[in-house]
Amino acid sequence: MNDTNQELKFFWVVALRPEANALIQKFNLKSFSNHLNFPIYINRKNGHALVISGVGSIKSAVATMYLNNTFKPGQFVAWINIGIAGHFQGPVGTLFQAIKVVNNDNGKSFFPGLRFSKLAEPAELCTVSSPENEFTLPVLYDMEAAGFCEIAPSLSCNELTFVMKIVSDTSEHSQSLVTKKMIADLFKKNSSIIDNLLQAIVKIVDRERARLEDSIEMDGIMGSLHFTETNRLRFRKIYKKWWCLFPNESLVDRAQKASSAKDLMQSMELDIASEAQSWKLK
Amino acid sequence: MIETVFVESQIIDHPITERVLSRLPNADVLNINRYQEMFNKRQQNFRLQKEKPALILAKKHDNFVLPAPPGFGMGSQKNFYFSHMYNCIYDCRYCFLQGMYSSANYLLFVNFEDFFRSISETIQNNAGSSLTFFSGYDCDSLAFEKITTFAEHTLRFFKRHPEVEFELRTKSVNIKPLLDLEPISNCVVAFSLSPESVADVLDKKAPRVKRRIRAIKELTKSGWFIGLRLDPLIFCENWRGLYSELIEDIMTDLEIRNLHSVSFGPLRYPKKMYNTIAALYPEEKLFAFPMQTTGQLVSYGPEIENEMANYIQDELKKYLGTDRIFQCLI
Repeated sequence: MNDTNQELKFFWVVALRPEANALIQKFNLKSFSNHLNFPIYINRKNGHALVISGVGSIKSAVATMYLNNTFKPGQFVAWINIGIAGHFQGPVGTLFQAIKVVNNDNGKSFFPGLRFSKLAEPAELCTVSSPENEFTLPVLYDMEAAGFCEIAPSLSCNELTFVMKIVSDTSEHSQSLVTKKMIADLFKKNSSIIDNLLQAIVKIVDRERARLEDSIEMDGIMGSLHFTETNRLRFRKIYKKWWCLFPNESLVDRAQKASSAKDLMQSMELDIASEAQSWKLK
Repeated sequence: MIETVFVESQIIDHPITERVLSRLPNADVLNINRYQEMFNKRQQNFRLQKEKPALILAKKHDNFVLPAPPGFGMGSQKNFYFSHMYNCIYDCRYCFLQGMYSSANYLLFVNFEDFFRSISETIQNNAGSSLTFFSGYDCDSLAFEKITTFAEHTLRFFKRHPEVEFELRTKSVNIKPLLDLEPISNCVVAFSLSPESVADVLDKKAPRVKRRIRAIKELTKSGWFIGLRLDPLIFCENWRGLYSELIEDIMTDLEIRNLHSVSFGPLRYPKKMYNTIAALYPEEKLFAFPMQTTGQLVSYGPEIENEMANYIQDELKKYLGTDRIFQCLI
């Protein structure tokens, strides 16, 4: 993975500028780029990156891919689509975690994210291609989530793809009453819930990162010895086993003395084999 | 605790669906069209999903009963298995289900009646052969009983078919539903077991071995036939001592006449499955062992496998005849 991206953990995809502004302010994000009508904001210190997609499912999908291609993060980061949504019931201001997202155009369903039942109410969400005012179904309505869900799970995994929606309009509270200030207030009102959700999410991200990411030592060794592509894959596997058995030992000295990558891998395999007869399960 | 239940619209009124939902009054219930929308999809993360599995209630449409793989069985001429559920509430680290599905959600097929119809047909089509039906290959047969009542239904069914044998495989100690019934002579309750210290590390979320042994003894005392499944055999420091102790603990004070069979089998995976599971749990020492790959199979290798098999067999022979000892070789 590119060194410069190591600290980015949360990748936000939002449709509207006022939604983005709330997060830009909250996470102290700075402008990173503004190409292709997809402005990107980041803060490497607290790990947030955000893209403004514009309205619509396709734009949301494209912006998600664009944000990914800009930073090429690992498969352990969290992808979050947050924004305002209509709801059949409300009340306005409630933050829901969408655990089922249906694309109203083609009927395709998505089931994003690990559920955080103690932090946010779950809901079904219907992504529509034009603003919904009827609220015929007992669900949330938005215009982006299905596009986001089409792409984001393939960049990380389904369980690290989250859709959060704050109710802005209901059959009682018309969409025409939604203003920039109201959106800012809705986000402010849910600020602590968002913080709590992020605390829960970052624990998963860190665990997945530890599982998936190459260690600095592994990276260093692969940089200092010549590995064929096949040996690189083999080394990763052997290293993970070796590290599992000898978590407090370092390979750096041995790698420096090794005549070749093959030589190093053989010595590691011998280490592992020597443990086999008295194998401990923990 | 199950927080979310997804229900296929077509079985929302099925009596088993209604029963399951009544047992989970606090769960959120969402409708789906078909379970394939959400089960075993690419990009799902089994390990993360296992932290909080949802329950999916669905209808199975075909392949209700399947032939058991060669090498699997306890002496019958023909062996079949059926799976009313995919995935398990336990989290045993060696379990092949971790590599079988990308999804850890529990998938329960509520149309038990179709399973029973298909089993009846299989019995009819194989008249004249001795048959055994196995349940608990893709799930634990008893662990979910309070919610599903699967075992109760299934035992009642097989009671009407004394001409065939039925094995209900489990690690659960929830034996009350069995103790409430009269023992059924053609039904075997088979418990999977490992030495206590092995299970303490690997059988996550499963009842402790001493509780399983207690349940086994209680069942045999009440007249149930039980099976012991030492499967997979786990190689570790002092494995001989650990397995001897396990076997001794089980056999002491056991109603041996009600011990139907003991089987044991090696730890083996298809290569792809092994790689998937090892990648899910790189910190597990079980997967750091220098396993041998032969063709598409990953195992401890013939030397360890044979040594363990011979030793276990010798230990078992101290308590029962070879006619009740089976080596499982899949």
